[in-house]
Amino acid sequence: MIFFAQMRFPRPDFEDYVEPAMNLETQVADGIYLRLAVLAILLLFTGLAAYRWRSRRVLLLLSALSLLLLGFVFSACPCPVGMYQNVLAGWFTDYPLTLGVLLLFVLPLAVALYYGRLFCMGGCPLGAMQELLHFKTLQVPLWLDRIGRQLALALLLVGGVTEASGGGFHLCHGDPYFVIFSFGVSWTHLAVAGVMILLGVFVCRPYCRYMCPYGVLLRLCALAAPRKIAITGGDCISCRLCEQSCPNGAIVAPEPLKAAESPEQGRRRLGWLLALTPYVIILCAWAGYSLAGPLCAVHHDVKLLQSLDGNLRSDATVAFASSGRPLSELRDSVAQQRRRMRIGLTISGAIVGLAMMLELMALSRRRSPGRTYEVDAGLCVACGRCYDVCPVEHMTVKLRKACPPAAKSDA
Amino acid sequence: MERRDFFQKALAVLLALPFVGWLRRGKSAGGPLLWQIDPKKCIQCGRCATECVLKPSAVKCVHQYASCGYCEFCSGFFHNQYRQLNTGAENQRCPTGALQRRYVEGPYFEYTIDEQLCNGCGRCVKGCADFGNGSLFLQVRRDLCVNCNQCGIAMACPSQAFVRVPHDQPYLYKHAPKEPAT
Repeated sequence: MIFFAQMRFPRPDFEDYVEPAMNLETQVADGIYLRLAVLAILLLFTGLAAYRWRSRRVLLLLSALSLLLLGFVFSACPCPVGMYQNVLAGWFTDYPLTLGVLLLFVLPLAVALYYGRLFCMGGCPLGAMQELLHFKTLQVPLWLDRIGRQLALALLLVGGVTEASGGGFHLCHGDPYFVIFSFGVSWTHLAVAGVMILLGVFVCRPYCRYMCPYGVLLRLCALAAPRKIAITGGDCISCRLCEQSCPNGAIVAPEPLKAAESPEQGRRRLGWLLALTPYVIILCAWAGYSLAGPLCAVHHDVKLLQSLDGNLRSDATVAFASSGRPLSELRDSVAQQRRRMRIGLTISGAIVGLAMMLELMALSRRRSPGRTYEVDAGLCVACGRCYDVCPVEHMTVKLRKACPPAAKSDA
Repeated sequence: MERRDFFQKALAVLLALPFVGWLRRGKSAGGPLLWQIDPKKCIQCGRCATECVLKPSAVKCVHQYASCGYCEFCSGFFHNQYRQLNTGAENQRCPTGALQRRYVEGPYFEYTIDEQLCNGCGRCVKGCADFGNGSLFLQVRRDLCVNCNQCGIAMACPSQAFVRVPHDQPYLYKHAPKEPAT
C-alpha cells in the first residue's frame, strides 16, 4: 500500500481489534434514466392534452406533476435546461459526455421539432412553477418582448462560450429558481428567486421568455415543427376574443385585423431598421468584447493569477504554492482562456445584435395573408389559455361533447 | 411548407450530431459522473461546510483506519490549546463533537466520526495532516450528494480539488484503495 501522507505514527499491533468499516457506500443509483422515463411520459400526456383533449385543466395538472416529480422528488438538477452546457463541454473539453445526459438534452428538442414546445408546459419544473404562480397578466409590448428575448440568446451564447473555454456550468449555478428545489442556499439566492417569482405573478413566465437558454433552442425547433397548437377546436370566426388571452404574446392576428398602419409607415420603419442593423451588430459585438474582460474572472485560473500578480494571499494562492504547478503553465492557460472568451463573446455579441434586428424586422413584415388567428409555434408553450377563451370551442366542440344528441340541451 | 420541411430535417441532423460526438469518444463513461474531492489537492479551507446546496453539507469527514496511528494524543481530535487530554469540549478541535474517541488497549484510542454531527468543515483533517498520519480526509458522501450538474462547492474550491469520477468508481480515497471492509 502506498501512503503519500507521512506515517509518523506506525499502526499499533492489536490483538483482537477489528477496525470499523469506512462506511463508504459504493452503490450509486443512476437516476437519469428514471428521470428520462418520467419526462417522456409527461411529454406524451402533454401532447395528448394539448392536441387531442384540448384541456387547460389537464395541462395545469401535468405542469404541477412535473414540478412535483421532476422538481422536488428527483431534485431539479440535472435538467435539460442546463444540459446544453454538458453537451458543449463534451464536445470542446475533456468532459465525458454520457448517453443519459445526451438523451435528456435531445428529447424535449426532438419533441419540439414535431409538436412544439410541450416541454415548457408539461416537463419543465421551472416553467411549471412560473405557470402555477402567474395570476395577473401584464402584457409586454411586442417590440420590448422581442428585444428582451435576446437576453436569453445572450445567456445561451455567453454560457456556452464560458463553458467551452473551461469555466464551469455557470447557468446551472445562476439558475434563479434552483434555491426552491434545494432548500438552504444563501440569502442572495433566495432574494433573487423571490424577485423572479414576484415578477412572474404579473409577467407571464419571465424566466422562460427572457432568460431561459434552452428556450431559445426549443423555439428554433418548434418553428420548424409541422404541427402546431390550434387556438380553436372548430373554425376561427376572427372574433378577436383570443387576442389578449395569450400572456406570452404568441397569438398572431390575421393580417387585415392588425393595427391600422399604412404600408408606407411599415416600409419606412423597415428601412430604418435595415439601416440601423450594421451599427447595432457592431455595437453588440463591441459590448461582447468589453464584457469578456470582467467575465473572464469566472475562471478559477484567471482569478488565481490576478491574486498572484497582486501579491494577495488567499486560499487559492496557498493551494497553488503547494501544488507545484509551474507559474508559466498557469500564465499560458490564462492567456488561452482570455483569448477564447474574447473571440467567443465578440462573435456572440454580433449574433445577438443580428437576431434582435431580424426579430424587430419580422414585426414589420407582412406575413402571408392569414385569415384566422394562429399561434406563433416558436413562442407558444402550450399553456392552453386560449382554448377556454374561444367561443367556437365552447359552443360547438365542448357542447357537443357535453351534450350528446340524446341528452337534452339547456344551452 | 417545403422550406419548413427543410429546416426540420436540418435541425434533426443537428440534434443527431452530439450522438456522433458521444460515439466518437467511445463508451468510456456509461453512467452519470459523480462529484468527488481529490484528497491530494484538498487544503481544508472549510468551504465544503458552507458552499454545498445541502445544509448540512454532503461532504463528511472519512477515516481511513488503515493509516491511523491510534494515538492517545490525536492532533485531529485535540485542539492546539487543549487543557487536558480528555473528551472535554474545550479540548476538542471538532466544533460539533462529531469526532469521537474510544479506548482500545495500551495507550491506543480509536477515533470514529458521527456523521449525523459532522458538517464537513475539515478542521480535524487539517489537524491530522499537520501533525499526524493524515488518515482523516473529506469526501462527498454518495448517499447524501444530490449530484448537481454544477457543484456549488466545486465553484468555490480554491484548490480545484473537486473532480468528476465515473459512477463505477464512486469514491476517491486518500491512500491507495483498499478492498472495502465487509
